[in-house]
Amino acid sequence: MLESWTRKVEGGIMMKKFAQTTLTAMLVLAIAACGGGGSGGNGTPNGSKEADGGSSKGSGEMPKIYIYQNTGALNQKPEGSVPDALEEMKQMYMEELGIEPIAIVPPKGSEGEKLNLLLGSKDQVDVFQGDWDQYASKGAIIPLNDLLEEHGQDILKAWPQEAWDYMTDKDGTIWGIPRGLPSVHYPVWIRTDWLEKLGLEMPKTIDELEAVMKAFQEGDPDGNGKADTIPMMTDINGINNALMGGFVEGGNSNWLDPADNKIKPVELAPGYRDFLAKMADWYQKGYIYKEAFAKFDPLELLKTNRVGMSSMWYSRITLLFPQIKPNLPEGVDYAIARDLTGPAGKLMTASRGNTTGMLVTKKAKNPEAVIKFINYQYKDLPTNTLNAAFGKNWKYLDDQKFEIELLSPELRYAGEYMLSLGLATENKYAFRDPVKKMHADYLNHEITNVSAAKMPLDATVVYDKERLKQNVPMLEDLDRLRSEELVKFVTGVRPLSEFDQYIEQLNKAGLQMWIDEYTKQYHELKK
Amino acid sequence: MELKAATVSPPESKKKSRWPAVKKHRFYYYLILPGLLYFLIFDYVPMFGVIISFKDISPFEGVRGILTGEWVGFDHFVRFFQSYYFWNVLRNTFLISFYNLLFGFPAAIVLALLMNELKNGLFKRFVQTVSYLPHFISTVVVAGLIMMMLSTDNGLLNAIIVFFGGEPILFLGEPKYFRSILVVSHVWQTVGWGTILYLAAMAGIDPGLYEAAKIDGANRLRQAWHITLPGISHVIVIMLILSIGGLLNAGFEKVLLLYSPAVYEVADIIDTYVYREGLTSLNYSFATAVGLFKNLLAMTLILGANYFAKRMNQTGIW
Repeated sequence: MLESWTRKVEGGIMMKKFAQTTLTAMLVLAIAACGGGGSGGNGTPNGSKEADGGSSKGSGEMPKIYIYQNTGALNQKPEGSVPDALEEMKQMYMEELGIEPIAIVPPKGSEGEKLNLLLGSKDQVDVFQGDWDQYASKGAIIPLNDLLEEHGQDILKAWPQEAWDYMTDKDGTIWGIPRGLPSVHYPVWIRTDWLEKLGLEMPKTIDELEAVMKAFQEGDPDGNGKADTIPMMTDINGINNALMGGFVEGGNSNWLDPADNKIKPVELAPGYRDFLAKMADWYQKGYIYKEAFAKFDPLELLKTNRVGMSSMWYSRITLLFPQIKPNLPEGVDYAIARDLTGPAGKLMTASRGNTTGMLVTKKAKNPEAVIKFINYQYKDLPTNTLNAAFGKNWKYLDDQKFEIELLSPELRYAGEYMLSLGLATENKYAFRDPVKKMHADYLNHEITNVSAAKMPLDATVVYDKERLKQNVPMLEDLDRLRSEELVKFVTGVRPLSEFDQYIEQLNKAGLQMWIDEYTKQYHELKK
Repeated sequence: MELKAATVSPPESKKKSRWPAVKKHRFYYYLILPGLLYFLIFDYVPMFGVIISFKDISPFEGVRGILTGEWVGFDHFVRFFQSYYFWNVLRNTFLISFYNLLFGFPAAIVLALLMNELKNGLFKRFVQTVSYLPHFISTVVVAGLIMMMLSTDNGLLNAIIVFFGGEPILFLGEPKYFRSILVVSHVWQTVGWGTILYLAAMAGIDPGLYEAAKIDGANRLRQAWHITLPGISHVIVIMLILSIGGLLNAGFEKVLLLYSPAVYEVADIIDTYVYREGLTSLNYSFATAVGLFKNLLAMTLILGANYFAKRMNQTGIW
């Protein structure tokens, strides 16, 4: 009975068998397709995938280079290029150089993490921006000496020896193409129209700076009848690099203790406690923006027309302020407070030349093509680098090939293939456009003026990060402790009377290992 | 001999009888296949990677690195246990999760009980829909909403405080508020979705029980206490066990999006620690060891909860 019923049912099922089998097959295929899409999409955004697929047709043996675009070139248009504008640029490079560039656009805010995943996967990535000392010891990148000698003469000429020194290890191996030079990134910008309105002079000392902040806070310079002025917009790096030098002899830098000739963190240097006390006082008085050490959007804050000063990264003013200036009352302007000094000298600390550069990966199939491609952008400066940055959307305004303007404010090409971003190319041109002029002026006249700041003691020492990690296992914990407690002291969450306990905490977290390793490397590597 | 054959034969026949059934219903099994493959490929195969927590690997050598890396035993675990912040991240993880459970778990039951009492169908559906909606909002958007609501500049809450003459409070920068913000937003986001299972279980309770209770003079509170709650108790226990299994998932994305150095002390959890060590600092082996430790703790918790649930009222997952 049961068997006959089963047969009947099976007979019925047979009728549907084909459809069901097809359905099951479709399900499996769908999963396979999803899986395929997932791996293809790993690190490759839609735009670049389309460009990849489109141009591989008929490209034959033409070498491809995979560019991880984390240089900051896309900041002007974070959503990326219009597809046909990107394709047009790709065709241009293919015709000019016989090289097919393929851009990988990382997710904004997670560029580093995505890069690390890509480097560890089987996905192709040939060139990216990063710190060579982080990647060289792990075998992720290749030396560039021979490649640059053979294919990169224009790159070599464009950067001064000082920049190459930061890209070179102690054995003379060049690991990257420079991105910058020792620079000043944290000047104090002040609202000049408010100074004028309140009858104040540009401050020269820390006390005068404080007096200006007080006047901004109490004098209602925006005239809205509310006591809502934010005297200073800043963040952790801002107070460290723009202000600490006024209190600590060496500025925001490791400290060489003359008592034992050992390298120690700045927290142990004379004057650091005074610096903390002043910052805490300013925070309590409301001179420093309340949310400075949490997460906030500087552009939105500037839009409110309440910010009197900024001591954040320079482009918070040079790039953001001109964008919103037309919407602010007439006459609004920010200028750099020059030659500011405190009890220990200059307020500002310069950023040491760092190890950030364009790096070529070990798994690059065409490293020669990568260097040829970059070298092309360094040729005929600034024409080729401008093409890489803005496509065809720009023109010269003078015969000297210096002043330029964009043909259309609507950008179509975003800069996916730009691999020559850096001071060596950025100061070869300037925008006449008022929105871009402030930034260009800073790059051309201010950023390398390191005499305006203190230079970190170990500015020329490239510490071996791998050795640091191995010999100071608590390195990450110490970093967290230092930034966390700095914020607590400044915001008043922790009273300054507990400073000695804080130093004890650092010791418990492994400070002695930190001091030993840094001291050892400093004496070994200082040039 | 016969006896021996008799004792042996039943399992054999049982074994034999299973396969025709499987064959007969093979299409249903085919339907399970994609699900099984999913778990196999995405959940079980990657488990192979946990071996790197016992090795030192180069992060850029891929699978080859996993195989060729040097064995270092429990070094990475020991390093984590000796880390200056070991107890801090462990305490934060437990506390944030525990508060989420303490306030979030009963909230869904209470809301379900309240919804169950609503007689107006339209209003009930409206309340259900409104309470489900936050579940569908991405964590990034929720974090954005929280930041806007709590901002010292034009944030709604601070605007109210200022209106009544108070000083604006930097909620996201004050350690004493941070966990409360996480827990309140967690409850808001999950409470509606959590009611679904309970409402379904309540729908299965015999209406005759309520009628009998009414005849006995029980008011609605008594009916909820003596009929509804016992009626859904098995679902509550299962949900509690599952929640305890996830106790160490303290809401990584939201913490990462909202925390800052000012609140690390109360906000840094195992997941954010793993994120910083693994993806930011490239210590993959160490980060994997920390992740594995967390999973072992979670497994212990879920097994423990299951054991106690079974001991107390005979209901458990296994």
